[in-house]
Amino acid sequence: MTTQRIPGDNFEERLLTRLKAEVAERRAAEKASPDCATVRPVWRRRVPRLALGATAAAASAAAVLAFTAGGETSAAFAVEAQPEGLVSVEIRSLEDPKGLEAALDEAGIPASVNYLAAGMACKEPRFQSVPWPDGDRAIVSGPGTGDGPFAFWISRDAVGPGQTLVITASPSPEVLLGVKQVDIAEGTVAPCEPVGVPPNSGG
Amino acid sequence: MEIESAVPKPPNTLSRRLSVVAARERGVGPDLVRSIGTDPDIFDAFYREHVERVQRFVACRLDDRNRTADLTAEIFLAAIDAAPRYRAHKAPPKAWLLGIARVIVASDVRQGERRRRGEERLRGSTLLDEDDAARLDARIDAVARSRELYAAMERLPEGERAVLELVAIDELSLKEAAAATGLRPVAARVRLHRARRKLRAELDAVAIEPNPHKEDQP
Repeated sequence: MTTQRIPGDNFEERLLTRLKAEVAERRAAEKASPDCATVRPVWRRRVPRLALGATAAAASAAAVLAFTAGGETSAAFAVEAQPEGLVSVEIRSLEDPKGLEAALDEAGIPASVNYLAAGMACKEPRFQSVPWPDGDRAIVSGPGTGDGPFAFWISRDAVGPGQTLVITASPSPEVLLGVKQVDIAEGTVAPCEPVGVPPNSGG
Repeated sequence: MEIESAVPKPPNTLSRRLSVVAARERGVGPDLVRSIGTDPDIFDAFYREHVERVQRFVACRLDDRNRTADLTAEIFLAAIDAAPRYRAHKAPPKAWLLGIARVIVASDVRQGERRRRGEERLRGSTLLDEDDAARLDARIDAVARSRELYAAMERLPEGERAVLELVAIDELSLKEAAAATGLRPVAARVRLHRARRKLRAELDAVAIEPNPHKEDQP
């Protein structure tokens, strides 16, 4: 871990407080005059390298090049290589699960992605889940609500041999973009058999 | 294709929150540096990651507690100013920041007292208390050997000296030092080689005693 923890009240903390006030002022000024804003950070998009609607096979072939060049982006998702072996995954709409699987696969993360209709879930049990790796190996969003996008970062080695990243979602106002499950499965993952879930079951 | 023309959007709340978590856990990566000028939480992570390195950078060059504090503040303010122009492909964050630190320290040394008369937006030295002073003095003492080395480099041409400084004193890799000084790695390697050769001759001439404590480690 590279972060230096500076406990208590000292010069470094006092300076940090002053500098953060400066940054906050700038943010306020930028919000007040958005036309002058020059900062568009964090989820910088690269030019998409795959045509929309490409078949999974075509996607898979093209993605070998695309991923090594920095990532894969479509209207529905973005998978991008980040520094230090991390991969950022952003799901913008519940479409093209196979494309996302292929992109994750090319990123070195075997995945099973299922998007279901509202009110549906995969029949359980489907797989044996394992705990997420420690914080410095995988970072996942907490629960949230809204239209998304749903995003998380994961390190390439978080999903080990014989393991699969499982993502399951169905439209729901209660969780962000309806993404209900981001798990690491050990061993076989059974195909998703959609079953109805009663309302307010927690999904 | 519609997404070809899509412009980057500001981070949404979740993306931002994840970025902050990632920055705290793993340091502020190149993709986040441009946020340090407008996102206090990302700046917080960036500052904590680098403040000790920046203080040491200054202390390796200046034997003065108050100026070390002032310049530490100035360097971070300059980074906040420069953040929107950061380009990830040119330099990793650490090299970028130390590149800024070089400019600030060099300018301070050049302009001297004339400049240090209330011009700073934020005087770091006014934030020091007694404990801090003792701690900073200890830090300054600990890098005495590096300052000797730095002083010995003074007669080298600027371009050669810059690369050697960053590699020998600030422990950057050759590639990072090249990025911080805007050189191609191969050019940096040539300059480093020349600088080392000249410095060796210089040190042989003045015969600086080696420091037995090897205290100039971070």
